Amino acid sequence: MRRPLATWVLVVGVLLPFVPLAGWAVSGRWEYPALVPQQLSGRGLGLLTDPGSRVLSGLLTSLTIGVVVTVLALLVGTPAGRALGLYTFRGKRGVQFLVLAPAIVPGLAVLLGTQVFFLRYGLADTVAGVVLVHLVPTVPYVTLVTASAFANLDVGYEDQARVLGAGPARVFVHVTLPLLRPALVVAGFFAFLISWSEYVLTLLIGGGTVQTLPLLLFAFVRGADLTEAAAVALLLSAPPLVLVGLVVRHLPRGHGPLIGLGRL
Amino acid sequence: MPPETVTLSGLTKRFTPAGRPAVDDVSLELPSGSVTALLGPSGCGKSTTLNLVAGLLSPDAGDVRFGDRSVLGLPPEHRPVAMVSQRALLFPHLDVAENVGFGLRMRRVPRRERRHRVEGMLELVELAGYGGRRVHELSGGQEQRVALARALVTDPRVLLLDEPFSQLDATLRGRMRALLRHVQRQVSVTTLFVTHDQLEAVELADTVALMLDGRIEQHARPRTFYERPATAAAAAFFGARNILPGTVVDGRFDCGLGSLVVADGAPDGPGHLVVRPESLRLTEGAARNTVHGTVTSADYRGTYIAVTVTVGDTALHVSAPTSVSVPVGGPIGVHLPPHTCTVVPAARAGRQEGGDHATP
Repeated sequence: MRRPLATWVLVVGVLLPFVPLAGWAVSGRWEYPALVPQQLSGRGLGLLTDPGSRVLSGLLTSLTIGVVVTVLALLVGTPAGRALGLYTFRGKRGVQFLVLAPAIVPGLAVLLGTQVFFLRYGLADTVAGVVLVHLVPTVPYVTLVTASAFANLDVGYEDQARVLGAGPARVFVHVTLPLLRPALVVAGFFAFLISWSEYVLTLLIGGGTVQTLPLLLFAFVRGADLTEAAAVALLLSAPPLVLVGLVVRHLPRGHGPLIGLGRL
Repeated sequence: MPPETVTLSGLTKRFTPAGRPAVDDVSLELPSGSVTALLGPSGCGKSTTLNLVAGLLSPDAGDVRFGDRSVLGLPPEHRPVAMVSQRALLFPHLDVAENVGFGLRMRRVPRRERRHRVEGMLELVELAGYGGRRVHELSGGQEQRVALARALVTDPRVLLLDEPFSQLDATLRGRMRALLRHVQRQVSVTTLFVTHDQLEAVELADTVALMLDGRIEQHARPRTFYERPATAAAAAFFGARNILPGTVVDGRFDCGLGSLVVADGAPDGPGHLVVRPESLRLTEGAARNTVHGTVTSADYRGTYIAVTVTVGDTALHVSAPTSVSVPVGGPIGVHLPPHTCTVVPAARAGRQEGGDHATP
């Protein structure tokens, strides 16, 4: 299939910044006028493959938190999305604003007030605490995406399934869920990405005990070792890129623009 | 399973506590295996009635019985009904065969039997071999045929159709009606279908229930609506354009046109004379039941000429054969054949089940 020029411009535009990053990750020495690294080194990649390194355990922590946050955000945000998308009720606008508020107000401002509670309930410095605090910025996005999906959901499909002999639970599993799948995939994708790249909230609640990849990246950048920092940065950007590919595959035709990615 | 007699009695549904009921004290009997059209303008409550029978809504008052058993306590999935709506509502994530087999899967019919029955049903709706198609590849007519197959494959005893062909073009609509008649005879299922199209109702249904403002105006055979409408509103809905107020005295109707002989059986008192444009005859001479006036318009309509004759301050609408020349502005006589002149009660109290298909 011939792809339009615009697609290639987009692809190159997205991938270009990764080129120097990849160069740094494998270089031993790369100084100003040189176009390619003057000396190659396996130090950066070694950091990623060494089973004892903090990087691999950080990767595992980040993945665990990301997946758990995604599942919980979908479980909490989707019912709220259903209520906002399908029903009209008194004070709906107010509720809508409150649901979105955490996405508008900077996380830091929210956190400085609530940190006390995390400390009081022993959630500070724990993975559970970090998961909980990651729900603050993720649930609004899930609610927003699913609300518009529910608003567009034709309840006629559910009625039709009922008449065809499906009880409420089976209607949900066999009809509602498949119809909502594109929205749930997109919402989950956003939730994972937000959790994956979260720094401030993780630092404040995890207190440096919970070491996710973004925290490690900052540590390496501060350490001024560009080779190691570049290697960790590449590792940090890999899962989202893989996810984009998976997500696009799971969307029906014509849903590409929903996540602003086109069908690359 | 044999089709079921469906009885609606005193069915009432309100959507707002204070407002006018959407369905107001509706009673209907649908004999086993019959086709009944629920005819009415949009917003008259006919779709709501259908949803009450399906169990998608529950009534505020009244009862729905299949046979002698009330089904009010049953949720839609436990009622032996199937439904086809205006929009085909095929599940977009399933292919054609999976859509048709959906009801069987919900009833846990084994895969092998399911495939067999789905194939048979696709054949019946003339879509053999379409099982593997995606639903977005189908045309509008094909979608509705798949929807019909999906509804019938579970062997329902009551089939509900909600304007199933209204979004198709005229030619296709005609073919779909023919197909539906054929299918309905094959599977023998008590059928209630909603439509706003009186021709569709007349063509497909054994009896027509005309619904206006949430109430059944008249329930009768199609022919009765043309020959003996029960109310002025029913007559008007079926195109009887001449509706004249007056009084019946000793079997004659006194109105602005004079004293006319009307069909037998008109009770004395105030009423409306109802006569269809195609029943009236233009004439030159003077005879019994002939009135004289002036032609005010004559418009060619393909198969007839729509003529307006003004008699005093009354306008009569006449459909004249195209072979007749009608001089606009000239004098003309209009003959009202007595047996085509029906008198209906003046008040809208005439909500009795009328005609030859009365139910108690």
